[in-house]
Amino acid sequence: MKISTVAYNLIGIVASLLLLNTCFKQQGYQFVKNMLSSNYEIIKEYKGLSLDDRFAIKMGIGYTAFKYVREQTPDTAVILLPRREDFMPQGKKSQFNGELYNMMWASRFLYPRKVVSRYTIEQDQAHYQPTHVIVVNDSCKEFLEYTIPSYIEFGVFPVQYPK
Amino acid sequence: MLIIGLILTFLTGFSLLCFLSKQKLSIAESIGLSFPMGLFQMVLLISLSDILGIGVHPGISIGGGILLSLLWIVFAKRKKHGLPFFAFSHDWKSIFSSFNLVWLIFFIALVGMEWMNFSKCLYFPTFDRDSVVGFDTIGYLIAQEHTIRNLSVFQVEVNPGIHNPGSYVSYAPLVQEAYAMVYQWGAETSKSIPALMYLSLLFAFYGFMKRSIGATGSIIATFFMMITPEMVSFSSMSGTNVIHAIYAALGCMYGLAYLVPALAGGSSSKTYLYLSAILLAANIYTRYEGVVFPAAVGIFMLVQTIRKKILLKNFAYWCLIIIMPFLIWKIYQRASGMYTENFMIPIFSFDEEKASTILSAFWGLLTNQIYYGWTFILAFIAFIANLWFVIKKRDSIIPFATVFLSIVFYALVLYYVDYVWDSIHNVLAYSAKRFFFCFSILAWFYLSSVYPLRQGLLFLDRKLSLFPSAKKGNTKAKTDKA
Repeated sequence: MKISTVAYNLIGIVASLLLLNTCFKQQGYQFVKNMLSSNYEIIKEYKGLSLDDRFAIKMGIGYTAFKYVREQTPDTAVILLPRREDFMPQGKKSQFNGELYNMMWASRFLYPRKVVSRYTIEQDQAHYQPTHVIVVNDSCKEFLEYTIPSYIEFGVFPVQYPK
Repeated sequence: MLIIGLILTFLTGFSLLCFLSKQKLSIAESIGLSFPMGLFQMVLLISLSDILGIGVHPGISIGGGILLSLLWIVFAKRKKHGLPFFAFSHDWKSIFSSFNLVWLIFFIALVGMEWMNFSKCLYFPTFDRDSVVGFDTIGYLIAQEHTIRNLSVFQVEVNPGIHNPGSYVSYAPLVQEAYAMVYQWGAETSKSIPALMYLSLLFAFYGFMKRSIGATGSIIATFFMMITPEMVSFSSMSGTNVIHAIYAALGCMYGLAYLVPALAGGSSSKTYLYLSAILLAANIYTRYEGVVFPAAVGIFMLVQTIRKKILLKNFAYWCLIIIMPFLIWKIYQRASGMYTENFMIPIFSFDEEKASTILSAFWGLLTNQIYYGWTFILAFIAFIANLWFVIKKRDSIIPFATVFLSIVFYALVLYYVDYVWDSIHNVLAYSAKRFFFCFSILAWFYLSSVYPLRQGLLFLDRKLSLFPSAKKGNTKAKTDKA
């Protein structure tokens, strides 16, 4: 091994470190470094979390709400899904995030339960008759064949009163 | 079964490479290309199974994968291309000859960043909006219902808006079917696919670039390509864009390597032609607008065919391999009711406002350093620095023109789509940044291969090599005109 090669390598190391240092000062690359390292910290800290918990970390209450629906209904249930404005009423701050009103979104987390939208029920286009109704911010109560307490922020109820 | 399935996917790709490669690929390239090539084959199997009415079952993907692997190995042996394990024994010496401390620093930085990215991808389940209301959910439902065409959410009685323009029913199937496959193998989430695809890109890109610019230049280019800000953040999500960019960019790179031997270390091979065709076919099978990439490369292929530098037969095979899977699936989609209402504007219409909106948005993206870091700025500098060599040596004209043309074609695709389900402003503001991932990879490929930089990096490689005696002329013959 030549001394000149070692010297070139040493100069190369200094130049590389300078280049990397300059790179991570640039706004875009700085974002990458911070994003990856902060996520890695979370992964190390919460190593043993279940899939449900990891979904909840990213999707917040939106996921927890559907998890609750899943736990409260049988696999064969047909669930009536409220509209966007039911989940997120205009002028009010909604606690829900994500597109819970979206059929595809709901299908991902409620499968094998079937999902029908409030719109298709109102247009009389629904392929399935709902067996359960998601009541959110007190809306969709009218689809139940019995009355429930005055204000329900979120819940899932069978259409017919359970015997 | 998930681990077995993923290994089998890799082996299916690897055995195809052994059949195609005739020992032309390096170890890094072989490792990097195996998973993407295997995934495409497995997805084609699933598509075929659905077309034939057999349905989507784990037995099909596993059994078909084993059969395909054996088939390619038998074919490779018949053509005397060597059995998989011995296929690249020639490459071991060059690994040690590449070693130097600059390479080591960038290697450590690359491994560190990718380790964090890979962990992030596998740890967090799918949460991004486009995947949850589309790709990931469709994959999940295919896995549960064992069908694509009869999928419950694709039925108009269940989902009345399914034929509206922009609906997921008419999307290219590769990503959704790949997710269906891993869900059927028992995966909790679909994230193993994007995680392994991005890792594969790093191997393939490094291996490809190493032949033309040496190991040191290649590891630096791979590192900066990998940390392209917007691309690395999307690489751990379940959307289609990064997977599409990987197929599109690698497909273009191998196509260009066939056209311009200097880009592949001085020698051309039909291996590159077929690799390019398969990767570009996968690119269209991931996103239909990917047709812009074979169109851009195809222009130069056609020119070389007319100039009789490429056999017409080879050009025809290249076109056929690219177009066949797309065409068959498109006909099947139409025949099975998986279509949407037309959302293209007439070909001869001209909307000046829309055209200028797209052009200014594209310019804004190309100069955006928060999304793409130094990528496009450096590519522009490389273009200016290379102008003298463009005139004198006609260096890197085709790679530059390919990248430029594919950007122009992409803009045309956006222009001709009538965004009735969204506005062009929204698409340009929120989605278009993801369309540029393909160009980010291609930009790093272009800027590292221009004549002055290529020579500089090869010089650097020679000067820094700690074990030069192991080198066997692998940095010679790389000054050919590009």
